[in-house]
Amino acid sequence: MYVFAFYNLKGGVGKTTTAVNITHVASLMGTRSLIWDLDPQGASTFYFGRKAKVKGGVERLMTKDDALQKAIKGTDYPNLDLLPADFSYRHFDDVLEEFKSNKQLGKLSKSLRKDYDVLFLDCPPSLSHLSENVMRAADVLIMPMLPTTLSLRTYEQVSDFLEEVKKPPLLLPFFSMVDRRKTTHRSVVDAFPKDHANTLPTAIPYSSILEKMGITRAPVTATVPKSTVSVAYHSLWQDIQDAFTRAKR
Amino acid sequence: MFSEYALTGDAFKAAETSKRTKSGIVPTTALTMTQLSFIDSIDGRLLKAGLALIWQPSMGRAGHLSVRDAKTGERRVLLAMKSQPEQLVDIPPTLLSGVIHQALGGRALIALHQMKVRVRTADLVAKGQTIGDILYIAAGPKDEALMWVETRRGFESAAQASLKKVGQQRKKPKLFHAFLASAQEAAQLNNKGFPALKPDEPAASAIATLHRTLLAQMSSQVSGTCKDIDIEFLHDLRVASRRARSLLQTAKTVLSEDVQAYGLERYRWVGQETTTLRDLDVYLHDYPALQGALSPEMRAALEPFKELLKTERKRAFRQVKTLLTSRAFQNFTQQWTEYLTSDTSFTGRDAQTPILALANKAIAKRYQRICNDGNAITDESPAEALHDLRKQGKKLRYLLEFFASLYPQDVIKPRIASLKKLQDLLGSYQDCAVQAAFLEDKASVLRKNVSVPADTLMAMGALADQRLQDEKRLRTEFRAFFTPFAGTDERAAYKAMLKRG
Repeated sequence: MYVFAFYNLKGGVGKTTTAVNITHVASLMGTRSLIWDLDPQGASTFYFGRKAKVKGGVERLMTKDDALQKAIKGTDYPNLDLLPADFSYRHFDDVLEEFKSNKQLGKLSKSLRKDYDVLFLDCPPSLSHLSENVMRAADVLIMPMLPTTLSLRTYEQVSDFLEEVKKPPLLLPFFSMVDRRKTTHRSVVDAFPKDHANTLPTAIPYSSILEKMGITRAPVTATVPKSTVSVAYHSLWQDIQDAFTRAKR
Repeated sequence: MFSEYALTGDAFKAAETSKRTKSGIVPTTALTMTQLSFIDSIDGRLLKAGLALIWQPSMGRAGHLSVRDAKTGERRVLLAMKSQPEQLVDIPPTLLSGVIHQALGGRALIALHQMKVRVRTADLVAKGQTIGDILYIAAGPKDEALMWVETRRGFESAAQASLKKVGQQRKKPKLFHAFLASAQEAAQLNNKGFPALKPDEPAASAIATLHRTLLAQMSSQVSGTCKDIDIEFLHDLRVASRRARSLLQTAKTVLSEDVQAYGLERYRWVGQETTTLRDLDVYLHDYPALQGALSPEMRAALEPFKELLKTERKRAFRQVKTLLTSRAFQNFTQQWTEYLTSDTSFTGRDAQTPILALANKAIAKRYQRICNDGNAITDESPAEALHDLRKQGKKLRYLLEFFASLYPQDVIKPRIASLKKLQDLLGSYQDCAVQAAFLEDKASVLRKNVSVPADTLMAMGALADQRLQDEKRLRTEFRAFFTPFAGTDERAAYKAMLKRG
């Protein structure tokens, strides 16, 4: 089982939207996928139409042997299960603090190995103890970015932070919510990959369809599978796999 | 979680209509007649690896492939696909496809067994959430109605509560296991296995059983051979045909003369007509190894040889396909089936002899002949002597396999293993000679083409020389392999087996 995390220090860049749609695309391709909604806001859980509730909260999840397995819920989609969010996740850092190690999340996820091909982590926007655990556990860190100057700054911050991690995950940035009518968007999207070869070639376009996910409570790749944005998510998943395969070699 | 429910009364009626039920069953498709197919290699390699692949057609050629645990029926992956997969590459890459790849070993996927059923899919819904997938199935002679339910993880109790009124949950998925058992049976038959014979069974009945099995084994490879998706289909077809010929020679005192002559002539015809394609398949399959045996600078020069093989293979394949779809081939299988069911075909003097007596005699005779022929081989004997010995060995191997059920397994298996060691050496020895001749023959064809570079002919010459060197080396090893096979211990083991048997 591989661990793919969707992460950015900055909020509102499309982490959850990407996590939900990419996980769905992966499941369509036959990948046995589990998405863990680590954000106490529970947006991924909401999009998959499930309740943001975990029995016993984060403390039980991190300390009881089979709590993780028992908390998993199936979704409406075959090959795709969900570890729901819980409001207690706001105390994630406190619970992890007790373990005095950054490996607890990784250790815990090992119990899921036999059931899933990929564990997708939808991370909250912060640089915390939880983020450090994510970076130790993940094989790939997928980083959505808005094509703006401020957003690029966070890339450098995350990149610098990863240099301190012992075995850092493969960092794969890509642009989301791209509006090619805007000059700034166009220039950033074109210029950034020249200095950052790890940038994924597919950019996710801005689309009002994505905003409707809150109403349909489903991935756009399921509700509007032939839309431009759905096609882009399929292409992005292919990019991620290609980059990961190259890195493994 | 996977479970099978037997439907009763109202639930049965509800499943027949497309209405949503109070239990939360929401039909998603209409009731249609379809064929569920158990997908595997022809010899059931995925089943052996604990995987059960079931293909469920939907619209046109499209459908869903579920990869299940063969023991429990638990669905591990569900894949929507544009057509039924025929090879590993047709299945999207998942971690499971690594397991499938390893188990398949390059073999093609076929429908090992099919089940004609009426089906409808439905969602199991509770409190607005989909908590399970349902496949309603009406199958069997009594049109027994049941459901396969794949409950979403974490909703097991909710699903059980919803479905309690609909039907009875079976402790074990009976239909799934019946489907599995039929597929296993088909795989076993295709896997060159033979039904068990009774020692006192009249030879006529036993030989008919063996011939029917061989005909079924040969026929089961025809479709795959014609589709040209896996070269092993033709190989297995030829093995079945060769074995049938060998059995005809062994049991010549059981069948009537004219029936035996007919069978021999037709099976020989199948063998002869398919030899060229099989040879070309083997050369193309082994081409990377052949090329790798050359020095790196010579490897590229071999390409025209590969092109020649490909061109000749195309022609040979067309001929084999024409043969296997011909009226003459159909007539042969039909006529042979009729002969095997007719009493008048089994009028030889040994027709009523117990099969064990016949098997003992045939095995003893063949083993003795190999010992005599092998002992007579000296360093000066021609290569043909070793080739003939290999043919005798093959016949003995077939006898041991046909009649394996008549002897204790712990006795017959070591005999097969011991023979196999000798046969492997003799096989490699013959391959060297045949390959050298083949390379020289093809080089003479390429020589006529002025555009073929001299380097190609040199590379082929180098390979032919290598083969001849290997042949010489293997020849020196013959005695070391033959002595244990014909030695005192092995002789005693054969004697004891045939006496006990």
